[in-house]
Amino acid sequence: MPKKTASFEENLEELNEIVENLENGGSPLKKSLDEFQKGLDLIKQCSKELETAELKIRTVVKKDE
Amino acid sequence: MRIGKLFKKLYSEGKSNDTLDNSFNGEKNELMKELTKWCQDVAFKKDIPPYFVLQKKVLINIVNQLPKTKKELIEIKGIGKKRIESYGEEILKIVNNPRSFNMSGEGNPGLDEESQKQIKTSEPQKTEILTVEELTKYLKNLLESDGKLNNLLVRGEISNLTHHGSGHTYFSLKDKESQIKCVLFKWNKEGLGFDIEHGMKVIVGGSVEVYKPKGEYSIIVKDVQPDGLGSLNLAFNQLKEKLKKEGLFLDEHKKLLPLFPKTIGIITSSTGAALQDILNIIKKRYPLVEILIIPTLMQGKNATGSIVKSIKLMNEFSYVDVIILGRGGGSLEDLWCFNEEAVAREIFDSRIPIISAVGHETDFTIADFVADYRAPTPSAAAERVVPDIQELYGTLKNLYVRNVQAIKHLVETYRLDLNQILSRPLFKRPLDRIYAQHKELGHISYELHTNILNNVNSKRKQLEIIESKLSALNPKSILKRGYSIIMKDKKIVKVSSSVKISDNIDIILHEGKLNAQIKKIQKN
Repeated sequence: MPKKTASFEENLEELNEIVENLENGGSPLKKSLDEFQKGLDLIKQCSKELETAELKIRTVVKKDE
Repeated sequence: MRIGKLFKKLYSEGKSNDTLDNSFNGEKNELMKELTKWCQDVAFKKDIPPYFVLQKKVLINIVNQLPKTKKELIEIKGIGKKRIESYGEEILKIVNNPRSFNMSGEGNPGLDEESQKQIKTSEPQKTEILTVEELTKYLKNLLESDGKLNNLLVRGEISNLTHHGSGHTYFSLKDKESQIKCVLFKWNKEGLGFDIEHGMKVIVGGSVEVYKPKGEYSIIVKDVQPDGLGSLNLAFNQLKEKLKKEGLFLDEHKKLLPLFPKTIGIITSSTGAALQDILNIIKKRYPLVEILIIPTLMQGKNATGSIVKSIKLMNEFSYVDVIILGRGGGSLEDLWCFNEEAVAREIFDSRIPIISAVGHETDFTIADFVADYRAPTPSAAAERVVPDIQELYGTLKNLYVRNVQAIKHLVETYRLDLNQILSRPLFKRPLDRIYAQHKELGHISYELHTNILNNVNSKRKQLEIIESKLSALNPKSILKRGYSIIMKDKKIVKVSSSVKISDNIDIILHEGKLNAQIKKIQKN
C-alpha cells in the first residue's frame, strides 16, 4: 500500500529525531551511518519543498448573497 | 436585514405623503383622501412607491372629472390601459360609492328629534355623530392600515421603563417634544442581544397599534438597536459581561493554532485591503499552504448574518486547519457586527480554530474575546498563522550542521576505540610471544643437549674405566705379559694335581699354541 507523502511538519519532526539520536550516540556504527544519510535526504527534501512552494488560492462562491 | 428595506420605505412613502390639495371642497376633499389612502394601501401591498400606482395629479383629475365608467376613466390623463386593467374597478368603486359614515343619530341623546332630523338630512360628511367605538375603530383602521406606520423606525430615549410580571416590557420613547408608548412583548426580547435601560438612546422598529379599550396608541416593538456611541458602548459591555459569565472567553475553550497549517480559511470582504495584506504576507512567509476564501460582508446590517453563514460554511470543509476572520479598522458602528451575540456564539461553536483580526491595534471587539486567538490587525494574523520561511531555512541549516557534527563525532569515537585496541602489544608486536617461546625452547634445547652430552660423556668414561679394567682382566693381555694357559682335555689346569707325568697338555700362548708333555711336577 503506497505511503502517503509526509507533510513538511512530519519530515521536520523526523529530522529532529534523527539528529538527536545521533547526538546521543549509542547506536551501532552502520545504523548511525544509515540514519545520517536519511537525515541528509530529509534536509534536501524539506529545502526543496520550501523552494518550490507556490501559494494556492481558492475562493468559495456563496449562493444568495 | 430589516433596516435597509425600512429606509427604502420611509424614503418612498414620505415623498408621496404630501399635504393634500386644499383647493377641494369638503366632498371632493374626502374623495381625494380616500383615493390617496387606497393608493398607499396598494403601494404598500405591492411594496412599491405610491406614485407608481397613480400619480397625485392623476388622482386630482379623477376627483375633478368623477368618471362613472371605465370608458370615462380611460379618457383621464395619466391612466393607461394597464392601470385600468389593474385598478379600474376599484377606482370606480371608490369614486362612485364613497365610504360614508354610519349616520345613526343614536349616540347623541341630548338632541331632540327635530335637531336629529336636521342632522340626518344635512350633508353627511359635515355633521355625522359617531359613537366612541366607531371613532376608535376608525382611528384604529386609519393608523393600522397606514403603510408608513406599519414598519417604523423611531429614534428616541427610553423612559418609564417597567418590566411586567408577564415578561413583557413597557416603556415610553421620548424626545424633547413628545413621547409615545411602547410595548416589547416577551417573544421579541430574545433577538435583541442586550437589555434596554432607562435613559438609553435607541432606534425602535415596530408598528403602531391602537388599543381600543384604553383609547391609546402605542408602538408594538419588534426590534431595538442602540443609537449613538453611548448606547453602543453600553450594549457592548452588557453582552461582554453576559458571555463572560457563561464562560465563553475562558482559555480552556481556546483551541491551539496548528504550527504548520496546510489549509487556511479566510473570512473577509473580497474588496477590502485586509485580504490583499493577508495574502501578500502569507505568500512571502510560507507559500506551502492552500488558501480558501469565503467573501463575506464585514459591515452593515447584513454583516452579522453573513459572518455567521461563512463560519458555518467554512466548518464544512474538514481539511481547513485554521480560520482568519478579519477586516481593517473602522468606527464602533462599522465594527458592530463583531459585537453581535450571534457572531460570538458562532465563533465559539466553530470546530476549526479562529483568529479574530478586526480593526486596529487598540480596538477590542467581543469576537476578539471569544476567538481562539486575537490578532491586532489582519497583517498580524497572517504573521502569526504561518511560520517564516527564512527561519525554517535557518532551522534546516542548523540541523544539517548538527547532523554532520554528530556523525563525525560518532565515527571519531569509534576510531579512537579501534586505535586503542590496535595499540595493544598483541597487535603491535604479535611475535613477541613467539620469540619468548622460541627463546625458551632454545634454552631447553640447549640444556637438553648439554645434559645428554654430559650423560653420554660420563657413561663413556665409565665405560672406558670398565673397558680398561676389563682389558686388564682380559686373559689375552695376561698372556701378552708372558703368561700362558695350560689346558688338558679342554679343561684349564689350575693346580698341579690336575696332571700327571706324561700327560699331554695344550699350552695356549698369547700367540700360538704349544703341545707338550709333562716331565716333572713340583708341588708348592
